[in-house]
Amino acid sequence: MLRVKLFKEMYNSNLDIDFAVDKEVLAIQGASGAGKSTLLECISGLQIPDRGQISIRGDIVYSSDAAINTKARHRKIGYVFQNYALFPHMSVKENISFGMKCRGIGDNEYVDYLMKTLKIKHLEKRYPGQISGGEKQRVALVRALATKPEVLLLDEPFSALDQDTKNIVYEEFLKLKNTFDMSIILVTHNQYEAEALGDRILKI
Amino acid sequence: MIVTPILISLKVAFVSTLFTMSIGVLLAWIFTKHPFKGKDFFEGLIILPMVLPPSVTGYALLMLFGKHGLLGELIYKIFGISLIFTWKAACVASFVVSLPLMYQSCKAAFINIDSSLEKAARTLGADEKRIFWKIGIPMAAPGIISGTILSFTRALGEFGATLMVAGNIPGKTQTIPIAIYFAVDSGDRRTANILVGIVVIFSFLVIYGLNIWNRKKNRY
Repeated sequence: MLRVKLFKEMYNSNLDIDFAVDKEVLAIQGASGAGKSTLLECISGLQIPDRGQISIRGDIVYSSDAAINTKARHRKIGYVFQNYALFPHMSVKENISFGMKCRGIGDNEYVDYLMKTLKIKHLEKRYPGQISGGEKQRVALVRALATKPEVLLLDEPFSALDQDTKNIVYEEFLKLKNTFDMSIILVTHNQYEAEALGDRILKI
Repeated sequence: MIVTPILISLKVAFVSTLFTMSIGVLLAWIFTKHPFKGKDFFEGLIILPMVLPPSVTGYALLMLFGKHGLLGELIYKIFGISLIFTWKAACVASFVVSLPLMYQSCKAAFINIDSSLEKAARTLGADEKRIFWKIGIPMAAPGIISGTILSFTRALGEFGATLMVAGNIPGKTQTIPIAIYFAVDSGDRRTANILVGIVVIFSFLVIYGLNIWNRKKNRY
């Protein structure tokens, strides 16, 4: 279970939020500038909230009262960025194995399973610049899942895709979400996407 | 001998570029990715030799590395050697004047790296060292290579500061630019023409090659 209670001052508004996610897809919906990405960066440890507490499976990873702030690399969180943030100088295979090497995970069978499930096995020798937007999105998802995270954060992962590709990816996501035993936060500004993919919707 | 100044210049440029490259890359990474209080002041010190007259830089180095200078005295006490009027002093001068080029080139390259790549690496479990070696260096490689080549050619052509700290000792500290100056001064046009020809052709080929490479480097 991911438990989040935090406050962060931003340029135009303040982010003041309290929620929990337990092995479900929580769709967080809000307009641009509402603090959706800031929230994900605070959960993952890329930004520090002003105050509050964040715990993953009972382990506190951030607490302003107890002065705890676990570094991003030590939080078992998978993060799919809006622009996918694939390393352009690494092949698809190298992108996926990067996190596994960092965390000392050598489960190649699991990666093979993920790549086959998300239909990107044939792309493993290609570079991000040589694949389509939909393929990049899948590679980013596999890269995040390969480290076996306890929480998966998806920051507008479908926003860069055209409508036809979106429809395909939505279907795949719905099939996949029950396969993985983890809490998923999907951030989106799209009402339809939030309703279609989220088990619950939280508006900010 | 025309060959001797060429060999000394190559030795000085090669050694100083080794230091310029490693220290320039490291400073650019720290200053761009890990800003600290006083960063602007230290950045100003690094860039300063680029805008100062070479004679001023040379004089400052002479004061610093001279036998009674702050660092010169320290080096003499510890190692029992004096850098001034040796080829090593020419290396120091070349290093100081070419470091701003290396630093600027690397800084621009590091700034251009999409910050989401570093963020992604962090969430995947990478520490700062791994981010530097696996993301920073490969992504900034074109800028680092450009900076290294420019620093090498700058070191090869360094004159003013080198003359101040290393002097003009044929066979020991006489580099190509110094040899040209003294050849012209003594009316030895033949030596001057050959050395000028070598420097111009070499520098042109480097810039030409760099331009072609820059055009082709957009791999990603």
